[in-house]
Amino acid sequence: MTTFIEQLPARWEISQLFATPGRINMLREGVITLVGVKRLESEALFVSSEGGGTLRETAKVTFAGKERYWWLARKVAGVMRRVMLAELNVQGCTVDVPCINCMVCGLLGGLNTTTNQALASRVKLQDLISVEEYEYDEKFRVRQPDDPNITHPTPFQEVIVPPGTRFPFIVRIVKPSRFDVGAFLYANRIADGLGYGNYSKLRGDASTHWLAIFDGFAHVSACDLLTDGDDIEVRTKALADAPPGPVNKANTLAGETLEELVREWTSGKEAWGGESGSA
Amino acid sequence: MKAALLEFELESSTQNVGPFYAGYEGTLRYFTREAVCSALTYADCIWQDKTEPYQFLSFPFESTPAEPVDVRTAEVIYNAGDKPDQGLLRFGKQDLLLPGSCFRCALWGDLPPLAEGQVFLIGKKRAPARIVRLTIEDVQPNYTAEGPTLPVQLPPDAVTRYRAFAPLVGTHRYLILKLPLMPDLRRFAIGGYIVPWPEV
Repeated sequence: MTTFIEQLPARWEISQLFATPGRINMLREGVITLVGVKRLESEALFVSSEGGGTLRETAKVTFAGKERYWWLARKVAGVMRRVMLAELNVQGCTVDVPCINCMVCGLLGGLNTTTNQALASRVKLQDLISVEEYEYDEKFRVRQPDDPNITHPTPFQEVIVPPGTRFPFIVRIVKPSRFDVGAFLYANRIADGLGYGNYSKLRGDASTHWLAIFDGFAHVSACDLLTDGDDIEVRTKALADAPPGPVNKANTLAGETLEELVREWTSGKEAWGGESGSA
Repeated sequence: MKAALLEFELESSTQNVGPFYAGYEGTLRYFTREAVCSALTYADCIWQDKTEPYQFLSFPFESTPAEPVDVRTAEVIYNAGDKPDQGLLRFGKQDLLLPGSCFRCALWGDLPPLAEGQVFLIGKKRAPARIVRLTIEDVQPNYTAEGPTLPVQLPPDAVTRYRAFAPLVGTHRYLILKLPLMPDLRRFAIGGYIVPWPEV
């Protein structure tokens, strides 16, 4: 069965994006809404404040009636951009100086301060706020000195996000193409394996379970998903049956169809047109 | 005339960037009427030439700026990229409007579709927000209604026409202020609030 995603335009060239009027109506240009759950497979540390002394504390926020772990969207976006630049073999574009002329900038946007050109990201990520309640659990850690002649290790403390913590992951892609959806799903899978947050060489790896993709701007609310218990998978599946908002209901992808598409599109780049690797 | 009073809650952190200097990017605690109208019409900017002057926006309906009802902010550290001396804010501090913050505004005129639970994107990086309270009524402009007032947004050169005002936010492009309910100030009431409608 051909899904609506496979019928999207293959890819937007940068010149096509700049040919659109600067201001667009998202609903007219098209939006797809992806809803899933990100689960931490190892501990993670999302530092957002300087903290005091040798303590580093993961960020927290009070939301939907509870204090919860708070994972800023940009900590996902940054890893995603690096993965895309590497996987699509983009030359002449870096996180420091986005070229505003490659397929990654076309999707994730950027500002080039030399040319003063700015492209907005068409991937609208939102902060990830945990299903599980925040728990202050201070871990005592030790850092061995780099210099072997120094014998005293440095102690420090961390408040981390424990493995198994789940986060609703709601993403909207504006004016989507097949490449946009594929590159996003593919990069997300690799980014999950690389890990997010502080010291991701050792920790911060995650997995994403996609539950629904809506053809339209679904009015899916993280607050609604987090209120009334922690069974967000069941509530998201219920949303797939009756998606709220301007959505083409017949096109909703969920269940086995979605799992098959995600499996195919994240195992290789051919299905979504990222195979050439040229920028 | 149709009017709506709505309250919305942020689902993600965002900013309405105000002070921006020396590695510090602050946020204002109000959203402008342009931010509200763009959000509720699902307008977005795909590209921008930063050298172009600001284009004033018009919409089929009017709006007050969104005032804070229950707003929390947090100062977060920011570290982007690999080279600290390139780009704009590479390392510094940002004030963010936190998820769960609630704002109130009023709209009138040719209203867009609105519903409780509706999600839209607003502010820097377009944070999702959800309408948590909505009142839609037919209203009659008058010069006598009394009650708690919503703020108005005016160009800086327009405020001198008013005998009294309390400034809440000031930028080079607009001022957000409270106007006292003088007898010559046009207004209407909706959802328990008075919306000043100056004849600018």
